[in-house]
Amino acid sequence: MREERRRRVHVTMRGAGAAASGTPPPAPPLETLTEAGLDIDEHLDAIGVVTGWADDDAIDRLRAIDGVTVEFERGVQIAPPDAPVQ
Amino acid sequence: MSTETAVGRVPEGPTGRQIITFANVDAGTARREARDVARLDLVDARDIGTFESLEEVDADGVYFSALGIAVVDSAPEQLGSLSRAVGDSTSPIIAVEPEVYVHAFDTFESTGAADGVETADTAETGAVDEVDIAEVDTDDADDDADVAETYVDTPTYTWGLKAVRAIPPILHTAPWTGTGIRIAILDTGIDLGHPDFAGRVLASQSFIPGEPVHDGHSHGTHCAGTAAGIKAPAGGRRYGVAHHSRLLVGKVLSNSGSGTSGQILAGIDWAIRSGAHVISMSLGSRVNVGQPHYTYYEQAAVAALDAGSLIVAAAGNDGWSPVGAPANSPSVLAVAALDQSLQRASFSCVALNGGGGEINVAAPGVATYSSVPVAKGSYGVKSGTSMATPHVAGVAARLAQKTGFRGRALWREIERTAVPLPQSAQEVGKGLAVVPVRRMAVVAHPPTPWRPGPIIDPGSTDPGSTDPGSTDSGSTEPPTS
Repeated sequence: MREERRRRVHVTMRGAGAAASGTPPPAPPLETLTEAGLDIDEHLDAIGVVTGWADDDAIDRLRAIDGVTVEFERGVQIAPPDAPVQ
Repeated sequence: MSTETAVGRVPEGPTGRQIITFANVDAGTARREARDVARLDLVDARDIGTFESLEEVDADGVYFSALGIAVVDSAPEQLGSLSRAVGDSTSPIIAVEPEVYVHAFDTFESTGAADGVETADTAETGAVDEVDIAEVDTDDADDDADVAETYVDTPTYTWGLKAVRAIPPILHTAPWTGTGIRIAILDTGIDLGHPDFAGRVLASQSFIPGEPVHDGHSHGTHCAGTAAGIKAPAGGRRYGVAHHSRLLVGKVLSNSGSGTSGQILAGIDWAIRSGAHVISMSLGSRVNVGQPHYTYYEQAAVAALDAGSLIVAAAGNDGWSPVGAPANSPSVLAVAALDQSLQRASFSCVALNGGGGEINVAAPGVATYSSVPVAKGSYGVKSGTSMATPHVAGVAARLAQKTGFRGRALWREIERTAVPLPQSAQEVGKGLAVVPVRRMAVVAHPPTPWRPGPIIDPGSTDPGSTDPGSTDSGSTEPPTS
């Protein structure tokens, strides 16, 4: 039941970029995300984004963590090769 | 040794002869010095009248007393003696330099080596001269974008290259060709077997499970070609803006053209870690009016800028609709598409949202000819903001080479040098992104009077021929003798 609601999410770790601009809050350690229920797929440390899977409860817990933004993965589709506009 | 009378290709680069520059001494002293130092027998140009070539002169070289310069055919050991004389403060010989071919400006120019603008990478095209030269038929180009002009492809280059000045306006050169700059193309991959990309792809990586980097779509190969296709493609028509940049190819869209934001983020992460200076993304998803940008794309773009990588992205093809994502991120340079009249293409998205939803610059994106996979015919024409984006990536690479700017400084330079267009910033941003060009010097080298034909008679359209009657031309000065 719970498994069916798992969704792909992107967790943006503010402050974790190569040298983030401004004065964002420091990024939490990855364990904090795991403890909140994120099943980490990839840690993209050059851009400070963690991708993974989480259910709705976990997403709520992740969103409560200071210094992170949780967004859903989106599909991208370009036109077929012979389309008039690409 | 080839000369200008050789049939076929106009010679370029060094002639094999040397030019000796003397201190301010009389002709007798200069000729004695050449004989004493290197056993070179010089004849005074005033004594021999007119001649067509050095081969006709019964001497090792000719001394031009008005210039204090001699042009000689020297053996290597003589060259060594001359070089030693340069270092000898008691010798009137002050310089020995290789002679280079010089041509009329409207047909050809060979200044690459002499200017030191770009000497690397010559093996790639086999050309000695790396400087792009204005074509003979560019009669109406000037400093500003001619908005009344309608661009068309020619057999030798695409209209887009002409519009962004990768084919420079007449009397200009475009000496910065993207050398040393790495452009990442995040798209449907690339046909690594396409002959035009041999040796051009530094690294490639697929982020699509189960699909290799090979481009089964054609979109990625087309975009890579526009950004960095070679100068002399097999198909004849040149289509690549920064032909000396190298490519990093990240396959973030499948052969059917689909991907996810996660795969795109992984591609950006890889491109930054691979040292991309420019990341070109001809992809995106639709955005509603009032919808903000995505935090993850913005964070990725900020990280890229901080690392010296500039992300350029297609505005989107939904017409009078907001700029899509990721182009709507404040730290992603959003690119609109122009047609052959430099008008915004009707499909090109516009700035309806603030906070990053602006259009930054515009570039050619209609009827763009470029490479496609060999299995799909090797070359093809496509339209879209996807095609405009790699034009800007190529412009960015050339500007990055010229200025050394990276990241935000490069972004500002692209916008600063963009040519304003009549349409609003909402549609075309700061205007047409263009390649840095340089105005040619009026005279790049002292005239070489024994080969006056190509210098004083620019009328011939065949660069391989010379017109012996050209010395009668009344509009230019005959050689002094």
